Amino acid sequence: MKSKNIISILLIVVTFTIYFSSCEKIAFEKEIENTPLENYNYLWNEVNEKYAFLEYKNINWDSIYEVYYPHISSDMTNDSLFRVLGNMLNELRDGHVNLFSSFNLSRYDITLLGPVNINTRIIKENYLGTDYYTTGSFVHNFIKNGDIGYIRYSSFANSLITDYELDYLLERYKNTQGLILDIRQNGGGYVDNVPKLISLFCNDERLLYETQIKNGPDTDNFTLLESVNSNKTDKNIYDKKIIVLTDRGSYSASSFFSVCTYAFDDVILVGDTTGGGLGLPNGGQLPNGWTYRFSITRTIAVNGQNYENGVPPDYTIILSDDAATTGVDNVIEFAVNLIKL
Amino acid sequence: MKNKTIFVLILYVGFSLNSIGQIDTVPKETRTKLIDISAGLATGNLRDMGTSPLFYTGLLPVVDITYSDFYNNNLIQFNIISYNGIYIKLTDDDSYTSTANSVNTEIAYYRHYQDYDDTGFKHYPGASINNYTSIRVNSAFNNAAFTFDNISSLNLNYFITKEFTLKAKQKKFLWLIKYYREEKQYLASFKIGVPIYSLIYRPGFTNPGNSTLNNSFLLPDYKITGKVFSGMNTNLSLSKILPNGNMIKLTYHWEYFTSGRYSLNRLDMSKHALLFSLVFKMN
Repeated sequence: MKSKNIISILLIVVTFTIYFSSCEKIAFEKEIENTPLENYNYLWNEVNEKYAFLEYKNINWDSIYEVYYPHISSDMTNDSLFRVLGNMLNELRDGHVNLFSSFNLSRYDITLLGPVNINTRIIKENYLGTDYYTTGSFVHNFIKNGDIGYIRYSSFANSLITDYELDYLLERYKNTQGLILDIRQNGGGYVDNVPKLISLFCNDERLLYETQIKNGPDTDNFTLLESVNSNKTDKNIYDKKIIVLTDRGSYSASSFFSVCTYAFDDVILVGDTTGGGLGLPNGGQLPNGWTYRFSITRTIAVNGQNYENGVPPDYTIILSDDAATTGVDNVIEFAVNLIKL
Repeated sequence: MKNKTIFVLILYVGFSLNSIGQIDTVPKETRTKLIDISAGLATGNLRDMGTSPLFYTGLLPVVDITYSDFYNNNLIQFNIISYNGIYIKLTDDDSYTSTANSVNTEIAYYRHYQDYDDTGFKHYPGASINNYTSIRVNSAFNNAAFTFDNISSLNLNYFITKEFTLKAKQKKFLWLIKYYREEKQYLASFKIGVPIYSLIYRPGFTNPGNSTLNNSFLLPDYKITGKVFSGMNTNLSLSKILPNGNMIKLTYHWEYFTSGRYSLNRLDMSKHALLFSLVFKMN
């Protein structure tokens, strides 16, 4: 009887001991120390194991460690640490790579890799006119005596494209000879808008591109290729020629859209190579709380190519230096000629 | 680790069989059905290495419903507990918040082991299966903002109760005011559960989160992994038994879980909850 009582009471005593000793702390690993070196090592290692394009971009990440390591010291300020970490990340040459803190945001400006291939003042004055329509995020009008529809789509991020908006565009431009879809300097946004915009000229199921996710620490550790297809629908589509205008500022979702056009014979890319950004970025946090993001997927076009550094156009046309004085956008003019061929 | 698991299982099964062997000693059939509705507040720590090496501190209102069916020496329990709140991390120069919504369901079976009844304690060894589902959103993590976890576990449980009475007594409040304290009945109970094997469904190596490209990528590259002894959970409660058989109960719930140091995107979490309950006798 006495021993049974002791056992029962012992159980309760053990329980209280567990409660008050916070036993979970024994099971949990300690937090990484918040020092400049630990933050540096953590970020370097995250990129080393998870970034999708070290091999593709031929980046020797081990040597990058050695380059920036001497700049780390235990007594450095947060501002200095931020600059070192930001510069290290910029070695990835990727617009999808950022470091975020409460006082700064590091970035790699992909648009500086090429000229701005658009002059919006010329577009307004000599192409869209003053009576242009705004439907959702699309700004559009007839050009060239109503023979051609011009649609300016400056961001995938403003809102999700609706069926109503697309139906409206289809109805308005159904009698034109072709459409010009201008995504120059469109920095991307919602990837969900890509298949939606594709549905403007595609109602059958076809392969648009394939994608893989980094799934291990080695540079070649990726999941199997997964197909991304357009959806089969019974909706009306625009079945005449479409010219898509791009430049280096066409990034991320714009590059995804540009890659998709490779799956269509009647959709032609004109302008400059896009900025790329075909890897989807994830996010994470450093021991000091700053957050970061970098690409952890890669995209393979229908022709089997990886265009992470930019989707090349079918016709490379750069805005002429005297566009501002002549008022002529030679990229649009080239597109018009392609439609009228 | 495997040998340790087998040893614990053999001990436990032997203990449980011993209790089953006592069926003949039950004098008569008894049945009590209880429904326990609880609400309270939990705090705790969470670290998801898929997105952050930092422990976030949770503030989570809790709702818990438990149905218990005592039949002779058997106890069957069905429990659903929901935590809906936030996890916060304060750093030197910023703060980060994650929403957290989770539901845990558990079905448990216990067997009354009568050998210790003469001590006043009632012992119930048992086992349970439970499923924990959680959705967290931390917008600071961009495309990895959304995290879904699903953990199913097979648990070995031990439940112990003791009923005691505070006798009626003439007492004085602050040594001055006389009053009569009526007889009061209480039930103290303690439950401990150990998940001996868990199946953990979590984001894979790079935690692709909500990087959706189309519908087939809803939970891209999520993985199922197994874990032996992934934590512990306990309930310590004190109930005041009312004359009609209903009870008012105060419970302290503590649990911790770890997916282990070798898991992908290690997940560590603990919860400490204080719950106030109304327990209704259903028959």
